[in-house]
Amino acid sequence: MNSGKACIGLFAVTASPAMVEAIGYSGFDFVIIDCEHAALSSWGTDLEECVRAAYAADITPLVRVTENDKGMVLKAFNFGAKGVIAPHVNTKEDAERLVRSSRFAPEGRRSAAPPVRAAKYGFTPFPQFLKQQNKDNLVIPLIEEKEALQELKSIIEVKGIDVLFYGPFDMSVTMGLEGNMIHPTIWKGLDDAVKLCKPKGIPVANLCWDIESAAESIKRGALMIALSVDMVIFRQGLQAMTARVEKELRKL
Amino acid sequence: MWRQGTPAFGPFVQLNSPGICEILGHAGFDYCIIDLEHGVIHVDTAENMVRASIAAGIVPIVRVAFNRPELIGQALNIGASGVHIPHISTLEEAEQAVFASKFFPLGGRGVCPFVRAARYSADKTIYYNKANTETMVIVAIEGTEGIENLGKILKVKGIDVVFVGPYDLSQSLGVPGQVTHQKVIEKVREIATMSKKAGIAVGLFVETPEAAIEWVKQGVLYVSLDVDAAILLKASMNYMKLVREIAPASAGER
Repeated sequence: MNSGKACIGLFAVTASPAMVEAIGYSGFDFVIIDCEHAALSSWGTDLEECVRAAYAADITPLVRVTENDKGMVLKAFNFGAKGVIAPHVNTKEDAERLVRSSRFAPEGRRSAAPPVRAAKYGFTPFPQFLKQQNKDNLVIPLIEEKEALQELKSIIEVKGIDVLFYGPFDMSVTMGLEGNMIHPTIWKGLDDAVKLCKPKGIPVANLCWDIESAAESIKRGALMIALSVDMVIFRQGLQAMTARVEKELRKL
Repeated sequence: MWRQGTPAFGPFVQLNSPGICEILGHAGFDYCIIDLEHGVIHVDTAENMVRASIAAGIVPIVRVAFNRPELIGQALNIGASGVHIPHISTLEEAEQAVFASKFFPLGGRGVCPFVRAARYSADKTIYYNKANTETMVIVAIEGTEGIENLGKILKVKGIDVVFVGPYDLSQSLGVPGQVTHQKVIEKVREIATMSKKAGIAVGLFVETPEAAIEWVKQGVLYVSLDVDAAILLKASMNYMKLVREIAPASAGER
């Protein structure tokens, strides 16, 4: 992403360490372990196992927390997430809260403890851990309501935002477009986000359902693409299979 | 490690925590033995423990509860680099252990390409060859019957380590728990000498670094060094000893 090339990953909503690991073996750049919509708690060991599985398969784990909550952001980073995506960031204050939860002082007020997984249970000396976390961890607000677009200019003024995630699905719902992610108005929202973020050096991420819209997003300046969702890919595989079953096997 | 002739060190893990496997990796151990015989660990947690080991760069070995093909298959399916099989007493038992651990033509391990060990089918054909060369089979001799049959057991192709379990061995020699008893030491030496002669690495469970050093000098390559719970206990006792020495005997003494 830093070299100007888009990186591609996907959402994992299946709440399974095995699935996270399998995604890692497939060659994607990152996986977003989802605690917002998935049956996965932002709090406990199940999330930690999913993050650990990403390390085992050498894929970058990002965590989307259930809400923009200090404790949830803390847990995700303590478990070893390389970035946290907070949903429904609508205002400058929301973005400030996210940065505050994510960074240790002086940049923020993340709660400090050395014996956590991200600090190798204390094997990483704390001062080194603090610097590394503040430098490397990605803070990613998700802009997904029409009100957020109006506030975007002031949101990206907040110091410490590493990536701006554009959420076209929720965005379309708040605009009355009922999930149409390729409506011209939705594309325009992405263009506006890129236009505002580019001069500030903030990469923009987008969610896409297919290769075509991913390519279109990259052309429009998105540098990070969440290419669909594990469950959707699984469902599409099933439908492709059952379509052939109907056509080729049911007749036999 | 021991395959190259250098000693390798790894504790048994009996507490059911993936974090412990990672901690042992960060601490610099070469391997850990996730213990499904004496540990309180289910296979789903064991899979997370194997993952944790890989994440921390430590080799995960699984000790199965019994010499059963379904248990050995499961341990290897979740991605263990090696399988430690307890209580091997006869030629037949050793043959069964190897058969369950290797694919054709070396054995008859259950074939499933969708498991963690096969990267959920991301690895296609290479998986079978790789597994057959890389999977380590560690057979434990821990009774007099096993020692009597050791000559025959050592002829079984596919055994990587002959492991001596001194506690069970002490029981079978009539001195239960006395692992430093002369009778036990002699039998350990006997097993080590015979195994080395047959070109098979020797493994032994020890409880102190001193014992580890002593046995490495005598040619033990696979040094199973202590148990997670015991390491924690000893460290905790040391902590408390220090605290008690420094703290006043009662709150009133100042």
